[in-house]
Amino acid sequence: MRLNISVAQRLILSFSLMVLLVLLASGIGVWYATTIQRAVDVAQDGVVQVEQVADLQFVWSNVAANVDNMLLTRQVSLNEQALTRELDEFNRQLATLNDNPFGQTPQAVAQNQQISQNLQLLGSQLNQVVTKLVALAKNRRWATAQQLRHTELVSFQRRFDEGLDQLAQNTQSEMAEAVAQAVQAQQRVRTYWFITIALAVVVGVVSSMLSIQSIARPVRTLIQQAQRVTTRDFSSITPLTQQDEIGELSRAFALMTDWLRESYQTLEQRVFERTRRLETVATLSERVNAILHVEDLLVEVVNQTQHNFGYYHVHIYLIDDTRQKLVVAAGTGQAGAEMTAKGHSIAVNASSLVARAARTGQVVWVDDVLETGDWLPNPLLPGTRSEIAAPIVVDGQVVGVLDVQEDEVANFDEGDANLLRSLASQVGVAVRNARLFERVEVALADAHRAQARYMDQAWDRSSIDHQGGKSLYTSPDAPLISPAKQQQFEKFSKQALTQFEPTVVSAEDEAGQALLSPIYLRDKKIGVMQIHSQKQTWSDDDVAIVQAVVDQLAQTADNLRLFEETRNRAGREQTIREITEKMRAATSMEKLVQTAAQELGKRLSAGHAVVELGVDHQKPNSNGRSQNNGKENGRSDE
Amino acid sequence: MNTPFKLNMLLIITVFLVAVAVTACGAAQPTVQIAPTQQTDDFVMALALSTLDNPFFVSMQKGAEEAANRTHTRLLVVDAKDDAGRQAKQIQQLIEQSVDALLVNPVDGEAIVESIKAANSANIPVITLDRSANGGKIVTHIASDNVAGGEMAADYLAEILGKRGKVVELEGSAGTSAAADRGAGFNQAMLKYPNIEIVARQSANFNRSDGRTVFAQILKENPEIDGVFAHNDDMVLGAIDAAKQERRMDDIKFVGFDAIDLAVSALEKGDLEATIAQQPAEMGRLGVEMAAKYLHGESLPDYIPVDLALLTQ
Repeated sequence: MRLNISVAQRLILSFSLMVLLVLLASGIGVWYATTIQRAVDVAQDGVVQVEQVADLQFVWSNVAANVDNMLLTRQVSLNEQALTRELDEFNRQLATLNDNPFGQTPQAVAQNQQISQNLQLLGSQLNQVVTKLVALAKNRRWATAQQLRHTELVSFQRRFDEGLDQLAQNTQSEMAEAVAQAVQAQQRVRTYWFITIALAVVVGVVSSMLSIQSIARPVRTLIQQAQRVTTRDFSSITPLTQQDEIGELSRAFALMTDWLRESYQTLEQRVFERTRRLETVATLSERVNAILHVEDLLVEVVNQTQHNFGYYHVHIYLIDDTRQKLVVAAGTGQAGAEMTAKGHSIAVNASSLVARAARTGQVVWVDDVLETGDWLPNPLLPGTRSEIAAPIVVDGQVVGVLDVQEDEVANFDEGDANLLRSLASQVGVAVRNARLFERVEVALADAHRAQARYMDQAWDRSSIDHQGGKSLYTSPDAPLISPAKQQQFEKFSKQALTQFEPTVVSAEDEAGQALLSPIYLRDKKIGVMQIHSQKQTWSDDDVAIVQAVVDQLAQTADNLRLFEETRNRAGREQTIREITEKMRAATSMEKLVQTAAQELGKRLSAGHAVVELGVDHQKPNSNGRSQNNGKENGRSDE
Repeated sequence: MNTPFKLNMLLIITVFLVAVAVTACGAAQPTVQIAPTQQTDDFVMALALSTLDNPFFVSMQKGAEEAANRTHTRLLVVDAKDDAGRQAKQIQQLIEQSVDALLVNPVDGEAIVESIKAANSANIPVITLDRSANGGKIVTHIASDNVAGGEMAADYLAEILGKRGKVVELEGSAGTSAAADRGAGFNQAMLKYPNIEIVARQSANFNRSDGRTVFAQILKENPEIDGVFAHNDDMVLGAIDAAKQERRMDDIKFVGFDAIDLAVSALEKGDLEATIAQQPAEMGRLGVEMAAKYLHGESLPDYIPVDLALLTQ
């Protein structure tokens, strides 16, 4: 059986049942107490009544005994007094009995009253008889008195006793009845209480079981379902069908779980989507960063973006040097190629989504281009319905716009916007890198050129090629060098200067081949080497050895030159220092001038050295500042 | 919100109604049922007396009438004037009137049997008073213990005679239970006194003139008589008359039976020594009361004795 009532109603029902049982038990208790009280009352009244009856019987016996005593003793006066006393007492008792009719019901009271009235009647007759008896006794009519005693009085006595017996019997039967009722009530109460206890137990057990069944069990089910959900098991939950609060909770919970599952799945899908995009962006960035030329880079970006994310169209505009126009730098597909070829451009201040992005530096995202006022339709891209234009920013300055288009309305989401924003900034970085690289390359080329020029000058100045810069080795078994041979060497040297790398040539006058190699110091040819050999071929190892030796030779030659230069400079510095020291040792101007002229002439192996101080600058200088004739102010060096 | 609230209220009200009903059932405990009051119905009873010439039976009639008044009973009284045939006819008429109960004081114990049987077949309960019947179904017999009365008379006579002397017994009508029982009791008790001789034993038919005649004859035949016991007062009064006539009162002690008014007067005058008092009125009362009890369904003993008393001077 299923109770289609709510938990609250169930609780009320249980409570009411308990209240009912308590009322029942209390009612039984009250009834029992009432019954017992009534029995006690009846017993008390009955005891009083029986006492009264007994008293009356006792007084009556006294009256009879007095009569008998009078008849026996034939003494009137004393007995008469006693008899009068006893009769008064008898009458008083009778009146008391008559005034307090006993009985639990009107019928019983009426019956007892009837008996009591009969007794009253008998009592009055008894009084008459006794009076008559006393009168007879006073007249000494003992026989008549005896007869009266034995006829009338005996009959009265019998009837009186009968009445009293009946009264006592009635009283006793009523008492017995009351006691029997009390006992019956006690038994009934016991039965009722047993039933009540049994009912309480049954109701308690049944309601407990119902509670467990209808509350605890579905709650346990709910807990299990909830625990399942906490372990991220969102599989569909079958709601409870009961029509109470728990049922409602269960249905709401099932709906919640369904919703949670859908949300979770959507979320997972979105996270996956986003991760994939981020991965794609990262991969794309890596690839883009490896490209050092801006044009190649932009082409790669648009193609990869369209390829990876399946957009309808992707292209990139760059702002030109005047910052007035946005020129298509790269675009996907046929349209992109055409626009790039034509140099398609949009004015920065034009009414266009791309131009707006470039102006504002913010991403422009339009779900339906037809609904937007500043959309500029492109006849090459008739399918465009929604569009995102992301500015490409380098060093805080917009340098271009990444423009992506879709052929469906509202086909972009926040993920797309974030992706394109990120991509645009990646492109910005890549563009800056590429531009920096180009600039560095140019600078490097300039540096190379300057160095080459410097070395040319240095080597030109150097006297290496004039002073023993040439060496000839001749094998002991080789033929003597003929003048012709000498000429051939000259010829090969000139030939080698025109070459860039070691070359094997055939000699004209002899067998074997010669290896010619220019000697490079950096990009500058500083000499040549020729090796003439009898052998017909030069192995790669031989060539490599020659090459390496030539490189080392050039390097070492440069080092030697540098060493020579340094030594020369050191010599100069030495000379200057010595002269300076000597000059400092001079104590007079004349001595100083003399020392300077003398030392300079000596050190520079000059014939004459003239030093003059105090020359008038205003006067045209006819002699110059110094002359090599070695005379100055009368002081000359010998 | 509204509907569950209503439902809750309905639930609570229902439960409390049931509670009140149950409690009320407990309180409405069946009241004590007392047997219906013995509101005495108007019974019709008949009292058939042997004779109203005897004051004894007049007393009986008065007692019965007094009790009938008290018990709301209508009492029909018929007098057979000592004629058994008349009594049979009277009873026949009473049976035809469908009286509720029949109180009979038979003229003749044997002759009354047929009438009692007729009443039995008419399902009318029969109670005999003072005198018993020899047959038929009797509810109860209400009478004095005449045997005991005879014994009492014998003992008293022996006592006043000093347990010696010559005694005369005047017997009642032959065939009556009273005469038989009183005689039996008297003679039984007299056996205890060997010095007392019963010189004459003769029936005087329970009446005064016979008593006078019979005793006069006995006086002539027995010059020495110390005491007389008569089965009733009428006979003893007749005997006193005869003794007075013969002037032999001073020698003879008389003891009667029944304590009729004349006998009590004789006691007080000193003519009579003693008489055994019966309670005829009480017999009549008891007859009516017992019949009423029987008609109310109470069972009665076969014999209800009525006390006797010895009245002396």
